[in-house]
Amino acid sequence: MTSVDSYLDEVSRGLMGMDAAVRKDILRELRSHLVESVAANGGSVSAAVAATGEPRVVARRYRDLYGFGVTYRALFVAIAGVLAIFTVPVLTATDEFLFPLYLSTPFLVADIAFLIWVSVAAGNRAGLAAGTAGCVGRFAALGSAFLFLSTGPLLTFEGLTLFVIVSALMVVIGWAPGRARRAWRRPSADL
Amino acid sequence: MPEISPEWTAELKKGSVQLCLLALLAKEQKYGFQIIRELRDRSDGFFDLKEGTLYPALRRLEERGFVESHWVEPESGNPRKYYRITERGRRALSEGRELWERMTAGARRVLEAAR
Repeated sequence: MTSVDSYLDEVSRGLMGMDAAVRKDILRELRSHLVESVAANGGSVSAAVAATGEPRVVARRYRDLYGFGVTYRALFVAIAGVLAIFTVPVLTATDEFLFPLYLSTPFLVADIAFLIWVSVAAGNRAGLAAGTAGCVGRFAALGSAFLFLSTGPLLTFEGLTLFVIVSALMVVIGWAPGRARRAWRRPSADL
Repeated sequence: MPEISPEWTAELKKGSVQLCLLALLAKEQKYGFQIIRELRDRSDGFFDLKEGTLYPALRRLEERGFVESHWVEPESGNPRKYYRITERGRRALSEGRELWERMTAGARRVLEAAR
């Protein structure tokens, strides 16, 4: 037995991060639909809910259409940028350090995983913005080493090359998975 | 009818649903549940889709500027969201209709010849 409210709650969870006004309007329309449907089928909420479809599937259709709201996309970009600051081991200089190497590696892994997720879930444009923020964050980290370490960062040619490559990769990693998903996506199951 | 592959049939059906939704709105504005029922009845059950997926399809038409919507709230009773075709939607419908006629006629000739 499912109630209209619990059904809508489940759809609502699937719409998390969507523009608030759009989300509210979607839920209002689905509620209106369920009321009509229950009235038309002789009062069975469970039949109405079954005919409407799996809440997760329904929510995914809306997600395909609207994606994430501006607030959430901005949040994703900010997170990717801040995480990226901690991915730069160049911040270690002799006995002074702002951020050590053994901590930067897990941050790098986390930021890359996050960028892939953003790109797939929120689209390649949001991913590109997040990846660019990541790239900028890494340059900011390097810059802060010049500012805050009396000796400046400990730079080697290999280290700097790696830094530039990984920074550029962030932009690509933010963009590519979402683009690939768009290109390869199968048509949705019933429309 | 059992399906060879859901993707295969989905691909074939794709597009026709949007065109039919637009056609159903050609004469008058309608609300979601009404559109769903008419789509099912007039297609003899061919478009027997999960109802919850019809709403995103309607909104896709709205995003394209083919329909516009507004809420009608009666004093008592259920508020309903009505969809109405736009001028752009009318042009899209007549273009879509013509394309559909040519496509089905062409496909029929190919299919018949290969029978």
